[in-house]
Amino acid sequence: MESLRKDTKGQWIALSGLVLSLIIIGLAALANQAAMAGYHSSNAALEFPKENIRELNLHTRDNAKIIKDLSFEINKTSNESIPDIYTQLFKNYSSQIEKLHAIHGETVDVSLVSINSTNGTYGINDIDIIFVNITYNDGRTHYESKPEVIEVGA
Amino acid sequence: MNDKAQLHTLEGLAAAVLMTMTVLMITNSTMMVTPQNEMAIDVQLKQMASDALTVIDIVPKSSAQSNNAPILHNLTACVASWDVTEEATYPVNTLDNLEDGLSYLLPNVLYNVDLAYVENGNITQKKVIIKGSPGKSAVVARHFVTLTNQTVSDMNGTWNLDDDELRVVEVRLTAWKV
Amino acid sequence: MIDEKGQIAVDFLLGISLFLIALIFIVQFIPSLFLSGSAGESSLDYTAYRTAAILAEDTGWWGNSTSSGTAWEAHPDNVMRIGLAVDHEPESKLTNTPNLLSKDKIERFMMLNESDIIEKLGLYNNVDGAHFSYGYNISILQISQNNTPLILNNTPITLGEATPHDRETSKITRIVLVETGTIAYFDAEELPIDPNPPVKKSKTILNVTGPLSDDVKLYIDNFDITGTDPSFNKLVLDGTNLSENIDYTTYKIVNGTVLPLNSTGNFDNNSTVVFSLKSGLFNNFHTYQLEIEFKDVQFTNTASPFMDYTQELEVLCEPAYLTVEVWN
Repeated sequence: MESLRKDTKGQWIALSGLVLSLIIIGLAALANQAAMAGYHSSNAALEFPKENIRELNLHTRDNAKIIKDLSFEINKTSNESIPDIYTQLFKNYSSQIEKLHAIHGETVDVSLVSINSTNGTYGINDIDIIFVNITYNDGRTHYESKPEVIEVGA
Repeated sequence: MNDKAQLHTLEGLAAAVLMTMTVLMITNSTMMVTPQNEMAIDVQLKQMASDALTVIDIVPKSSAQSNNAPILHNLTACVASWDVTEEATYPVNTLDNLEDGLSYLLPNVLYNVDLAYVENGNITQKKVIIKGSPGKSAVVARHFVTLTNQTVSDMNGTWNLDDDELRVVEVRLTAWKV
Repeated sequence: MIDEKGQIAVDFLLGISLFLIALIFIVQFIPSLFLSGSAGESSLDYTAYRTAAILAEDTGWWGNSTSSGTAWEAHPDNVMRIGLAVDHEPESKLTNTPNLLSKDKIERFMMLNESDIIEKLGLYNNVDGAHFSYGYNISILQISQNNTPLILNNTPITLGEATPHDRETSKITRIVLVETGTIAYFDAEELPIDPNPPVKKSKTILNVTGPLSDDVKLYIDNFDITGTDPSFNKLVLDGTNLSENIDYTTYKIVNGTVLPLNSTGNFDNNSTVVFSLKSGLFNNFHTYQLEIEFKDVQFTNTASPFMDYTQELEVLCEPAYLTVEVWN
């Protein structure tokens, strides 16, 4: 063993073998990143709830018109004012849509801000614009539209 | 002849063994061979399912449709015409006009359709079209429709809504490739 | 260990040759590992998905220094973004109906030149500022007959080259509803008797307000049949007889099937009779009077007010597949 201890040459063969192995591991990790990048990008396309947000938005817009027509119908046989009926119907719609989203793990808040008419009265052709606040959160994506301006005039 | 023992052979052997083991270890770990194309198929199917519901939702209610294709019924009209007392059991489906539209737009795809709505503060889910048990990479698309008593009675459905009631129904399409 | 004799120690030789064999083997082996994990291919997928999403869901945008809007088909020189979705409320500058494609936009899209399409849709690879454009094929296909493009205005809707079979391509399909034209439905019970002499109960009259650039399509059903040979006689536009197959074509639809019908052709009370009048007939700013004469059919409504074709117009929709395919 004496000669072994005095051998100060440095076992370059074993050393170069070690260095090459380390280089191979480094390259493999790099190639792995590229593979993971591809996975994450397609996953992003799957994860982003584009259709859900669009459906929530469009459906609320359509409903603002449907609720306006329904409030006029109800107002013919009831003595509440049209804005009150509208607010109640909208609350009913809000609670249904929030529950239907909650069963999928999405928090949605749709709330009426104001009912506007250009000439101040709330007759059949006067209600023009409804302001609504829409919020959507599914844990990864947060969407807000405050206010969403919906034109319901004829 | 040198009679001093040298380590060169063993060094060379050790270096060779080390490099070979590294490469073997790397190829055996599954990280580098993730198939990328699997993700692309999911995105395509999810988009198709969502598109099918979107197209059925925006079809105009009047019958202005081309003669080259079967008539697609608007989604609100389909849901309004549903008979609330009938729930689908395999293989009988209960919403034929929606079934016709979907099978035309999504050939080679199997799907289930459920309806969910809030009644008296509770959520009810009913199956309307069943074509089997969803496969491993099934995707889900959702659309909402609003029903009033007027729309329901126009389509002869049996939803039994009050005159001042608004019901929001979620149409859930689960699709998978066989 | 240094031997002055100038010979290599045998075990050094053995060691170094073992090492070299292992090294050569590994150098051969590594590149085949990286072949399967190359990232460059995925950019094709993203490009196809993004292009299909923009074409199907976005209305497009045009803009210059004074104004901007979504009707880029009317301002082709100032196009900033190309999209085919229809926008029924231009003042709101967004669309409530994604996946519904407008006929005007599709026709304008077919007339764009190739460099505009590649630049505006981003169908290129950006390498240090140089653009390497992708090969592409964008088509709208009919659903029932696979791989036949939809035909609008006698042109098949397909842009780009045919798909090459020798390299990797990335394709995505979207389901869309295409507005292919306009039609008007009429119920024969509402059509009035023609008051122009000679007055016959089997003649009816329609107003058509010009100018109209598309073909005029009339669908009439719910006939009141009075005799044994219900058939169609002739069409008279502002007093001039129209010739079949030159000025118009006609057919009937029975239970969803399209069947031919010429003048003197028969139909029954379950049929819908369709008249398709060529677009060049209604070019002026004028209310045309179209008289339709049948045989053994009677109309019951009295003349005024006349029904107007332009007020009964509905848009005709057809579902189709929009496919975008790109390759290097």
